[in-house]
Amino acid sequence: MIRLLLRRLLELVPTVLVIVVASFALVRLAPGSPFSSEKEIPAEIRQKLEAKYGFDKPLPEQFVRYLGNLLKGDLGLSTKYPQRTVNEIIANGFPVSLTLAAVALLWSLLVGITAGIIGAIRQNTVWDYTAMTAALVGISVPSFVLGPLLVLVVSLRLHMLPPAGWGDWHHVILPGLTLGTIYAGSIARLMRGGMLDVVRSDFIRTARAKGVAEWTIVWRHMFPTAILPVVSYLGPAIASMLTGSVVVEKIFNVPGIGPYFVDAAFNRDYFLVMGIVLLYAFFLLLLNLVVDVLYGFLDPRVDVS
Amino acid sequence: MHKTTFQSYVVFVLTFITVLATGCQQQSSPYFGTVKPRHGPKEIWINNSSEPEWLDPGRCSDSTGGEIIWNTFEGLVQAHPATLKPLPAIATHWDISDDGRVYRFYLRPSFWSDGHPLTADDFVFALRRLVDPQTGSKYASNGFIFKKGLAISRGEAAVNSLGVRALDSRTLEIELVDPLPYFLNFLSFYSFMPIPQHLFQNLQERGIDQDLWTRPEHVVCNGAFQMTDWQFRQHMTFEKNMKYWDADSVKLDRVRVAMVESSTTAMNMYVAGEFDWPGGSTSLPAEFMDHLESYKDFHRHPYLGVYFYWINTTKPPLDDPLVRRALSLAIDRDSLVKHVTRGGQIGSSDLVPDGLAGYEGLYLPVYDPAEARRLLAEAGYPTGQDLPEVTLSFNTSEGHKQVAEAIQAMWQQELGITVELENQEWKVFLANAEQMNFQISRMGWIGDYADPYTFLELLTSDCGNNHSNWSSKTYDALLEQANQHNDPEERLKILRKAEAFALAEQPLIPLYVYTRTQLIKPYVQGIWGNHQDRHPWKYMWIDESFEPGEENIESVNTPRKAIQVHK
Amino acid sequence: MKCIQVGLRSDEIDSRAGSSLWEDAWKRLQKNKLAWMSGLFLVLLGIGCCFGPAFLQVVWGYDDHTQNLAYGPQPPSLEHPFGTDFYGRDLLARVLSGARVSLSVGLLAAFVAALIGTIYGAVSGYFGGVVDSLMMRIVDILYALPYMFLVIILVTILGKSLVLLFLALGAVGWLLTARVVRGQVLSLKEQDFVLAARSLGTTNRGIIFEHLIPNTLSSVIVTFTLTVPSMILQEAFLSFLGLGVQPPQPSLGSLINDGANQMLVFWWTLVFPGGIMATMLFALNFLGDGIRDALDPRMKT
Repeated sequence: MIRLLLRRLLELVPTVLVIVVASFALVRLAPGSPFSSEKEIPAEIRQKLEAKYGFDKPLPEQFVRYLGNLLKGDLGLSTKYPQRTVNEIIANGFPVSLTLAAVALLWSLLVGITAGIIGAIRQNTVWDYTAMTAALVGISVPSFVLGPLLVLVVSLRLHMLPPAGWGDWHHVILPGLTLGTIYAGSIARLMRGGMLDVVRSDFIRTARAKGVAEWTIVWRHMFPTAILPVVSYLGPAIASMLTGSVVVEKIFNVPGIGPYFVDAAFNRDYFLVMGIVLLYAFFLLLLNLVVDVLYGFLDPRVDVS
Repeated sequence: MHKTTFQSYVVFVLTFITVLATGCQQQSSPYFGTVKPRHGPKEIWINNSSEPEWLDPGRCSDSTGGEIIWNTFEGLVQAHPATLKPLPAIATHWDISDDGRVYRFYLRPSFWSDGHPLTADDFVFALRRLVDPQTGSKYASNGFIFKKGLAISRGEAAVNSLGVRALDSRTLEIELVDPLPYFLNFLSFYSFMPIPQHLFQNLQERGIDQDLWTRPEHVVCNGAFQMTDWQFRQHMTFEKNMKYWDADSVKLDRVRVAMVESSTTAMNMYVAGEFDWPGGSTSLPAEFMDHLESYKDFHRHPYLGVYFYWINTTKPPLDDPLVRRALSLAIDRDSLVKHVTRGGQIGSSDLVPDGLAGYEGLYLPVYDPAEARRLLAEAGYPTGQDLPEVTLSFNTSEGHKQVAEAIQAMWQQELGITVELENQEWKVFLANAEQMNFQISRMGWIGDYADPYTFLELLTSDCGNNHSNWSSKTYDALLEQANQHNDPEERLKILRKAEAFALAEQPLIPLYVYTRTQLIKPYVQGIWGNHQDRHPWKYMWIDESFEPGEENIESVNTPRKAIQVHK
Repeated sequence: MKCIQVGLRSDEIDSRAGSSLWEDAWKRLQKNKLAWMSGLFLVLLGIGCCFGPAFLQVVWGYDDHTQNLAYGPQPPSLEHPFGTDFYGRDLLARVLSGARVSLSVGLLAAFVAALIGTIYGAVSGYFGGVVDSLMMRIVDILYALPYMFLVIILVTILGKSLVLLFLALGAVGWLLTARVVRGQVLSLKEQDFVLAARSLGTTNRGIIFEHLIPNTLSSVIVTFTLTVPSMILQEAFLSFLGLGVQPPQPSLGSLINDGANQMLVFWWTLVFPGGIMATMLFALNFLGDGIRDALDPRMKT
């Protein structure tokens, strides 16, 4: 088990390396420079700025230097926020994004699993249709519509929660709901499908025949198997919650890492872009690994080793 | 089964519409947001739109950083909060030489926030640092008005040869290249603040990166407020600086500055009472203007900025001045400002706003479609359809898109020409402007000081910000002549001649003069509308006696209560 | 924002081949009235999108780009059923024209994705071994690259045009199809008919294109129907960031984004584009579900 994990971790190394090369090339291909500004900068001063960040060197040399610093855990300096290192910016923003994603995940699991189970055990009833329509609504409403709507109703009219910002638990709820809803819909559909698959299997029929209470059947026997599709969906879902937070963090002015995703690319903040791409790539790879392992634990049919 | 699903779908749609309708329901309050402060009477919550690049006066080049510097540092002179006339600040008085080139400032005894005395050497250090190429300041050009400033920044002269000298610890002499009539006004700009030389030595001794000197754990300042906390991209907290020379007139103990970029979000936070003032740099969306107009906490005032389109005068068909003038005359500027920008902007075909520092505007025609068609026909395109396609570039923003879409339609409707819109993100847009890789490109120019020169300089041959490729020896000579002139009246006349000369060639198409629209809570006092959008926190205060409905609020344009300005 | 295709695992898809599969599926689909209604709605919407703007222009004299600034934004009326936008343009014409862009972006991008994904997956699965592990490693890497970032960079490098938008979305959206097809091909290639074809001397290319890919079509179609709505959402998201279609051409995404900004003052600018978009995604999802159920009898409920 441990050996397998180690092997999988080792396999990540070349993947990460390829990602470094690819993103470095892509970022540098983009037109524009981090030092463009609407007022003219004298050439001498521009050279000074470029020398400070090493942009005056040939690209291969810059790449080698970047790789060297990367091994030391140094992600470089930001050009847009010259008083901050990329490490510092990530250390500031990533926990915020993680908190937001965690709230969204909790919400989507809670709502999605409940709706999925209701839909399955009351199949083809009003309950089922309502739950599944709700799920589709969740999937079909883009977050940049849902977010402003929630702000309008909950904050501006009902004065229940702050419309934007970050600080205490009040601020987490609206962005969390906005981000989580679209996944709640997907989870509900997966859960329902999983439950329906199980409901026809022999061991459930046996349990029913033995007169086991319905509640016990659902929770003890059906749930653990039916949740498997949801588990395998969690990897990509968490990943896309993290990247998908761009919009939500913009709408609610959450100081997470999402907005950099777009802004850093727009500002040509080379090291910040690279740092964020690497962070995300590493995180996504790790997540896939965790999901695979988790899957093995939950489903006795899958042999992890 | 489908019937039931359909029914639940209908239920959802109805719920959605109900929720929306509740949300959009008009409120009857005469104020756009809440009217009770959510904090103590000695505090204010404002917005500063985005994380500033530098809080270092020598390096800052954006308005978000400038806003902070203006309130944490104090220069030789300060701008009057309503009229912007230069008032004594660290300098109590000054002498000007007869040729208008040498200024001698006499400094009051004052202290840095750490108790260290402030001397004329701190100014010398700051201004040398501004032009020193080692600093890498994007605003080094502001220091080119000082003698040798340009040469130093090019590495052609020693840094200590700059025309700024400390005669003794409290006397500073500044030598200018030209006798600039706007110098004292310009001197209150954030680039010219003193810098604590002793802090730099201190940091160096402790082995700390000197670039980090403005972070709250290190910073030493001499302005009304001092930063005590900086949560990256969230908010900054400022406390009153007890060592400030004019601390007695500072009314607030604390200022909380948030960094909210989206104007819609900032507006929502204002409504909910999270901001008392969404800040000068937050521009309110045009769609809301008519709606906001009816609220008592909405204000607007003119702003020293001109919105215009650069034309790349080398690329056909825009190399023909007739075509350029036709394009300009086909724009219905009055309709543009009334229906699109909606913020009370003034449609104008002039580059220099009328009345700026006594300047008399040209009043060029703002709309003449018949003449536009005639000019286009004269240029050889009688129907407009045979004109090669023209591309209009603008940087991604709701406001720029709205203007561009309207003008695209006007050119289509009046002249029959097809214009392609190209929406580019900021860095690409700037790179294209620098490389002259565009045909028409939008620009807004905000005056750094109240003088026509700040706008007219744009069209000189060696101005790096001239993106028209248009240059004229006659024009350059006129501006040079004006700058040498010591008689202000005569100087303005020459400048006016220069403007008329340039605009006859239409290297750019002016569209309108900016306004600023503001939301200010009715209990906030001490904010004046002024055309450079400078709003020092030191004059602001919370009126505890305010009751909603009480009509003691005058327009933001006039001082609400007499302020005392120390001499 | 990465959109996840829902409810699809490669092992859920029945890999039985044969023409009767299609006939059975067609019959099953015919019985699913909800899917029918959705399909009908989409066809009507498609017709409306293609001919609606021209029709409006002829009958009412409105198009999607002529401005009337002095008229400005007006609420729905008999003259303008959906109201007018900030520039006084008829919103109905703009919604139809925007839906056309959104639908074609969705369909084309999903088609590009399906095309790349199917061929890639089939080649990888068929050759197996080193080729397979190399090709799948590339897919893994692309999975790990933040998807949206890739699109943003592509759009900023290549410039903004509608065609590039299709390509950029399609070029990064093929990963799921590739995985599904590869999984199927891995099991299909051991089956008798493939072995028979190979012993008859059919080339690799022939086997892949004539025998393997046709047999994976049902799962490709299922993936395709689920990719379309997600591509439409992606386009909306790009429009939110200002990277989508360029004005004055509308797309549903850009209309909704404009509407969301002004919903407090001009509610109709959000409600109509938003309603059409939601209904369209609804119908696409229902139809997708219907097709999946029809092609996969095990899932029949």
